[in-house]
Amino acid sequence: MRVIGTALHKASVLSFMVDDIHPHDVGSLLNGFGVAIRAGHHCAQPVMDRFDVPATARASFALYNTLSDVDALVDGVRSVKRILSSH
Amino acid sequence: MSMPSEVVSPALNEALILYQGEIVRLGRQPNNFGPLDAFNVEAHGDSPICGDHMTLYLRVVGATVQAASFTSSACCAVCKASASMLTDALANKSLIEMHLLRRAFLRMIDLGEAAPADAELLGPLTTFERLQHVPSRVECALLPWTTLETAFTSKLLSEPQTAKILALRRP
Repeated sequence: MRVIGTALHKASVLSFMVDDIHPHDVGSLLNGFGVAIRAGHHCAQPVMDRFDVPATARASFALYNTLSDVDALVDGVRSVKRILSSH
Repeated sequence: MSMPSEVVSPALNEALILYQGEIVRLGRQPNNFGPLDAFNVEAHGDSPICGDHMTLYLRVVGATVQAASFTSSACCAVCKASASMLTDALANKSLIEMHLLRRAFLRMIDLGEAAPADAELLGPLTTFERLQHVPSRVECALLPWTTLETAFTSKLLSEPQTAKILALRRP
């Protein structure tokens, strides 16, 4: 798994790639596990082109999210890898 | 990040059902992936919403598609599975049959399920009936078919071939 954007004091918005799995597949499967994220180019095509990243998955944490929500995301990503990863 | 107010049973979850069987298998390892030897039709397709790109290759001899293949970049499992099944289905089809197949697939997507008269023609492609429950992924499955539409109207198809197909599409 690759995290996109690793600034020390970054906002609670986490963009990531899961192996070679397309972010739309990550988003749909996580949706199936009850976790809502955003996937795609996030209306930022020029900068995505600049860094040659076609799409990312993106989780945005807010005041209402709990630690168990974070655990659900991590469990969900593990399940996505089990279903779709070719590694 | 939103979380569900109730936990949904995975067994009943349409998003998870989409990723079963042929769609997940071919999404990981599609058939007919790579440029085709001695192709004479090449069509490009893009999905601006998804950022997906694909190229469809056909080897057309006379009025028959001898073989088909595709390449893609940044395409999801649903798109690759759709392209894999499409290129499997095109082999040894006449151009007219190719058009009828495409029309049956689009009708299935519109209706949510294959019309009884189309089910035999579509064969394994009826697995995409599952998209009726996941409308956000319809565009992904359609990209190979819209690329096939581009091939129809491509100048690489001879004028008589194109005219024959366009005549069929008139109401």
